[in-house]
Amino acid sequence: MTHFDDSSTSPASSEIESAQESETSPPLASAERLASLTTTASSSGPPAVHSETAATIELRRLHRFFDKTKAVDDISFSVGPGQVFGYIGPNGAGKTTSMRILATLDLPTYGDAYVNGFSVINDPELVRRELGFMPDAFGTYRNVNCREYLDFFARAYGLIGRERHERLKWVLGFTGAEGMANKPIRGLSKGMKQRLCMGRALIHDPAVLILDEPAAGLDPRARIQLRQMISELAERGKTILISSHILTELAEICDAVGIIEQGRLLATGSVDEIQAEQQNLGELKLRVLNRLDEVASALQQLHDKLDLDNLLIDGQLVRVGFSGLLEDQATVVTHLVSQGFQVAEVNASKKSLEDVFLQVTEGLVQ
Amino acid sequence: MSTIELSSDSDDQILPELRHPYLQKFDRWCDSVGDRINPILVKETRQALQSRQFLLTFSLILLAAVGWTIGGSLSLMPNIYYQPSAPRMMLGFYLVLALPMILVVPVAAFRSMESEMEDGTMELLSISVLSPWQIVLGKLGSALLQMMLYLLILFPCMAYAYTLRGVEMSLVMGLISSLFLGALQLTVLGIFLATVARSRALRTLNLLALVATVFGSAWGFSLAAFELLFYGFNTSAEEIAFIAYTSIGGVVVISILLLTVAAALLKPESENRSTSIRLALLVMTGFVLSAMVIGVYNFTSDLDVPMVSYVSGTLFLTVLWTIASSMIVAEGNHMTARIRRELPSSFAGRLCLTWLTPGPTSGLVFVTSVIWLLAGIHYLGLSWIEENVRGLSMGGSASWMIARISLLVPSYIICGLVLSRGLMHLIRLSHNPRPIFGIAMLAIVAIFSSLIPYSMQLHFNEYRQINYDATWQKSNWIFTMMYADNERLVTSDVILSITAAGVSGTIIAWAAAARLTRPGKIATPENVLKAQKLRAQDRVVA
Repeated sequence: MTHFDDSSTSPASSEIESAQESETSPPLASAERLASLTTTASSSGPPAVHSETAATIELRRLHRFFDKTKAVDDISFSVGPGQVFGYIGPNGAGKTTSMRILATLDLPTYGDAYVNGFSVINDPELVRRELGFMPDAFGTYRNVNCREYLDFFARAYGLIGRERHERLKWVLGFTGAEGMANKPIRGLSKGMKQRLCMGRALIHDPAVLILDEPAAGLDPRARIQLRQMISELAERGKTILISSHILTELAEICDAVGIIEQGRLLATGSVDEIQAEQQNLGELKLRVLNRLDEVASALQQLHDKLDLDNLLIDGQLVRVGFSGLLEDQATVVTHLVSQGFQVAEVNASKKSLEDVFLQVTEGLVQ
Repeated sequence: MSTIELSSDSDDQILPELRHPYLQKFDRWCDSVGDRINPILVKETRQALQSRQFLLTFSLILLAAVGWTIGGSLSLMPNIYYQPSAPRMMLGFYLVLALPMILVVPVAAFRSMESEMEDGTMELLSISVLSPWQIVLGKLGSALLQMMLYLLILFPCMAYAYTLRGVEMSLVMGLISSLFLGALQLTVLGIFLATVARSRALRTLNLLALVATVFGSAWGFSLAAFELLFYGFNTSAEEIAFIAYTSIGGVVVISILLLTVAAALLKPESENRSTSIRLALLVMTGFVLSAMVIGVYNFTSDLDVPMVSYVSGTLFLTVLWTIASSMIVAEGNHMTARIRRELPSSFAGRLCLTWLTPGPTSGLVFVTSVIWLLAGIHYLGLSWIEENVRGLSMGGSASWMIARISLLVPSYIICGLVLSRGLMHLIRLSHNPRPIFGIAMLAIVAIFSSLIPYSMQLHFNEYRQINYDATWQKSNWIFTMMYADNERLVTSDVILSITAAGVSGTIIAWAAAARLTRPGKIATPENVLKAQKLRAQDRVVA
């Protein structure tokens, strides 16, 4: 017999419950459980629960499945007030999906996300007031100019009268779009459209900004200007979650980054912390003039002692990952010279975010 | 929310500069009025008035109006001076007005909604603080504004045609009103069709369906106008009032239902989409019943009006509730904390309002209640007609026959819905189909419940022609309904057993929903309560 029961949960929801009950739940889930235990039922009006959280953006065991594809697979992290969080990963890693969930455009299969303490599932209208979202698509209208476009979104966020005019003026000034205010959107360049979309995301003065690939397709000058805008917004106390492929730029402006691949968060923390977590912090570049086919076996002898990795021989240039310590660098050079190799040039560098990214991810796409 | 210091410039520096102080005042007044208008309407109007489509349509209407004024008048010369010439001139102006209102405005409304979906701007709107209702009403408002503009252009021309004599003012007003209502209905349909289609292929199909509908409507309206203008309208005032009531009311309730569905589809999945649609269905049902009562009660001396209104109303409600019920029982069964927070917390509140709670279990309670109620009304209504409407002779066994139909139809629908609900429940264990699949599920149940017993009886009869056999064919609703008037084949026992199945289905549905009436409170986070309080205060200040 079929049981007709509204409370009979779908597999998804039952898994949420089991996930929340699980002993392996992360501290955030425990906090949630604690919050639910401190329910204060009142005789009049709805009861309230205390769920104070310092984080402005918080993802708790977020999952999003599309049939068998796990676009987001158990992601948890938080971003504090005024922080800039870089979200990096290859195409199809799940960045946009998790950002869309945060922007209340999609629902998680299970787990939850919070913006300023408001759940994207249960209180999306409160989340929207706190949030400015800049998707990777422009989303512009035909037959309107830039001022009208921003004016419309100011109205759509409930700004009226003087406040609306002032916000409009500020946004046009901040994004450097004053000169194009009366131009039709259709004729704008990509960089200009990007500014306009940034303006739209800022029009209601949100505390949290979610920027999905804002630098994609921009020329170097536009990228620098965008970076300056983001830095300025961060200085003004905005919490920013930004995804980008231009990792060198992210490294400069982000307080923390999260590396995601195949829906899973592989590493999270400040750039320095992530670099420190990697096996080798540095890369040694050597120019060897003779017996290049024997370099690999010579370095192999040092492997147990120095834990070298990622050996790459490109002509005379030999690149190898190492700890970054000067002593280890000296050991490698001494070893090669003692073996009769002619080492003409030695260059050691710290791994960039790009190197870390390549090391952490495998370039897999779902 | 973090704040950014804003300059304290005067309004003069913020608003676009206008030299004349009166113009500045007027501009400020317009601006403050604009603040109170739906933002979508403001945007759509700006867009529409700057669009090539509007410019082209507007110019063509002007050109056609002027052209027909001159050309039509000349073609009527010299009779125009001494013979009533209004019908011909009026028909021309009517066609000039009808084509943009029926053809252009609904398709433009569809395209406007469709482009929001395709260009990704609907997502931007859905994360603003605009409600889905504001979005759909803004689109509708913009279309209405365009219609008014077209009407304004043609108004002087129609006034001129009226002065040529031969057409009554009431007819002119009736023609314009019906055109306006028709265009409004088609525009609502356009908005609805653009919203329900999630894929590009479906949107294209919907556009084709809309285009076919608007062309058909344009043809129908033109033909009706021709008939009315040249041959008049021989109906009583009572009948005209009845037609006006059903037309205006019909457009209003259909629009409410379609717009409610469109607005519900624009809501996030975590929100309650179901209750508003159920209420809109009840409003529509109430209106159809009222039209049936008026049609039957006020025209007892005439057989046509009561029967047409009764039969068409009954058929409409049967189809409406069969389709709507199949979708309601196929709703998702997971309610977010947000929805549960909004449910009544007391036992009495839940007992009274459970049938409006989203979800298939409460949905089954809702639809079974309505279906039995409608069956009862059908029985009483038809019995009353049989007794009171002159000229109607249904024979001595009419009441008995009415009772049989009133029991069979709801019982079959309810049994189908209960089975469909069960199957959807099983599917939902591994998939998340949209409620529209409920229609397909009910259709499958209906087909198999007829086909299987029929095939089996045919098989056991070695594929020779078969007669109705109640042992096999009780679940075969087509066969049973075909012989419902034959007491020898479809005996009272058969009727009773099918009714018992329908009643059992209802009892199962109600019993399963009993636990929904348990009182309970869902906690609301404190920060949410604070934010809601602040918003309420802001609204009071505003």
